[in-house]
Amino acid sequence: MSKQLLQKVYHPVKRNGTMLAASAGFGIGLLFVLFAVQFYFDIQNTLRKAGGKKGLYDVEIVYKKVEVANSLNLFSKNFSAAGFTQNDIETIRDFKGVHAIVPFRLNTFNFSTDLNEKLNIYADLFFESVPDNFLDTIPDGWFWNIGDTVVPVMMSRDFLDLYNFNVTILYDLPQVSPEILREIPLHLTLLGYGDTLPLEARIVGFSQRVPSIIIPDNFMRWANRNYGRGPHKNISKIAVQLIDASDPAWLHFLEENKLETRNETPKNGILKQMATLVLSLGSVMGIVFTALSILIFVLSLRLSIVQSKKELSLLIIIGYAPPILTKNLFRFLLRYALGSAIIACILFILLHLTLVWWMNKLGMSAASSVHYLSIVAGIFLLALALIVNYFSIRKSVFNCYYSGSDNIN
Amino acid sequence: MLWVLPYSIISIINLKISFQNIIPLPLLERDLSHSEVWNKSINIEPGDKIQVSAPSGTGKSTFSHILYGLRKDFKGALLFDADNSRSFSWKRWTALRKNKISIVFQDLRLFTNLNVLENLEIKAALTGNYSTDEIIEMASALHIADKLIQKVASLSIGERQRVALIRALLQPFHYLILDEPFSHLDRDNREAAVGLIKESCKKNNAGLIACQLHTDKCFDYDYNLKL
Repeated sequence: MSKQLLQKVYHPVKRNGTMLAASAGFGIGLLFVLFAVQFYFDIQNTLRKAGGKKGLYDVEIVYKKVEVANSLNLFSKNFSAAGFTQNDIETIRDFKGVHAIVPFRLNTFNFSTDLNEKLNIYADLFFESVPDNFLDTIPDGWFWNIGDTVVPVMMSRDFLDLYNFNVTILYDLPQVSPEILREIPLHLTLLGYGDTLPLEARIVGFSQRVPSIIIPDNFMRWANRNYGRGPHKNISKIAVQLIDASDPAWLHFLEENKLETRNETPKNGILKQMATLVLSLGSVMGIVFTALSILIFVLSLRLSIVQSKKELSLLIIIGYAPPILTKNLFRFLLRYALGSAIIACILFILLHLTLVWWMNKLGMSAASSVHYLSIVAGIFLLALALIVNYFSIRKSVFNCYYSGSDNIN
Repeated sequence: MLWVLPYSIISIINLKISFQNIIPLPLLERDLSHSEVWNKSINIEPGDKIQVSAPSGTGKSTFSHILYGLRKDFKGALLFDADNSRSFSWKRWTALRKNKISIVFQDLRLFTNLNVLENLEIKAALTGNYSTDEIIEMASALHIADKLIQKVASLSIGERQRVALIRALLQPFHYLILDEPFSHLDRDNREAAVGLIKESCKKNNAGLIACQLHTDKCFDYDYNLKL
């Protein structure tokens, strides 16, 4: 009875629309912070659990840095100067964050090529291969089975660009579009042990990542086995799958061991940067929203208390203790704050589950559980809002107590 | 060793009030030699019924407000059971106002946005000593039962005065301070109010301090004091 009566005395507080605005602001702020923290940990978690999901690894093509020392056949700390040895590869494989490592396979078989017999254009080429999961693109037609007479070939996009933007100008030749190049058949003849095998090579795509001429790995292995002259001594470059190519420790490892990589924007680095950006922006916005809403709560409650000052002072005069009135007003605030916090939590869970569903759809493994730090952040903000407001209400009510006296020493 | 007892135990022992050479600061320059209150020592014993009479502007409301702890702009000392009121915290004043001293203000001080019953219930809810039925009975005794659900703002001054009187009686008290309580009441209502007050004082075994413009014989006063 007395609680309802007391709230009837503070009637202006109830009608104060700013309380609703403050609640909405508080809810939005809480939602931002909860979501930002959760999103950050979702991404971190996804990166940690990235094993087995090839799409989530960064792939780097690693070379040995060519220096005067290499030319003079001197030795660096861990690596032989002339290409990668098995030890070199094991050292890289042991680096934390490296998921897989493969050497580029070079052709050991001899072959001859001609672009067009009638035009009498010949080209001396080499081929390399890596497993498909190290490639940046798998174009249509990128397959070969024993018995197939057409061998798909992928070229570095750089080669085509070099031709189109340098060679054509220097030698007054026509430019070639990728579509035209795809239509030109390349006669390929495998040579070995007195046997020859005529085949047709076709360019099916272009790679941004691999600076070479690539053929399917299974064809390379087959051809090397049947027409090759034994393995090559040196491995000149390797492909490395790792969790984050922008990891400073990895960059330091490369520097320390005089290794170079082909520059490709690390996608996990982007994911991490995105997560950090979302965390920073979301947190800043959330904290700004929350701070403003706490301020609006404080101001609107103070305004309401000022509007009801006469009534509050009278309640104190007739025997109501200021803490009882503080509690009563705080209970009033609590309804708004908890209401908006509950709505924010529901929206947060819905958003989080949507994000998890979306990440899983993209092949990223994301846990549906809420990270405990999100809960801690939410509880902290709610507690902060309540504590700040409690003391603000208490102060305002005690001001009413003192101003209720006709004269104070 | 009274000071170590909790308020709940203190509240069953009736209060003694002492005025020790109190002079309100606004009256410092005045000649107070004829006053029987200001700058004098007065001891009010439990159960005492006192009439304080004075013309307008000589400090009747100031006297009742000092007693109720609303004014502290005075010289001298006000003692409750030998404790100087200047040392009282809000807790002590709240406990006094809730259980020991009740007051009817001259300006009534009602919640004008509440109706009559709500004004009375909000006071009764403090201690829970009176039921709604008892409140209605008291309102009937003062002829305002038909006004219970009417907003106080719409009542006449006389009706408001009766509401303020009933409100003051809806709590336990050792002293009832009345600041010109019947100024707007007709004879019938005055008699009804006096009857209700006497009954309530008897029930609480309480004293009464009535500040009036003129002396009257409404209560069996133990003594009169001129301000």
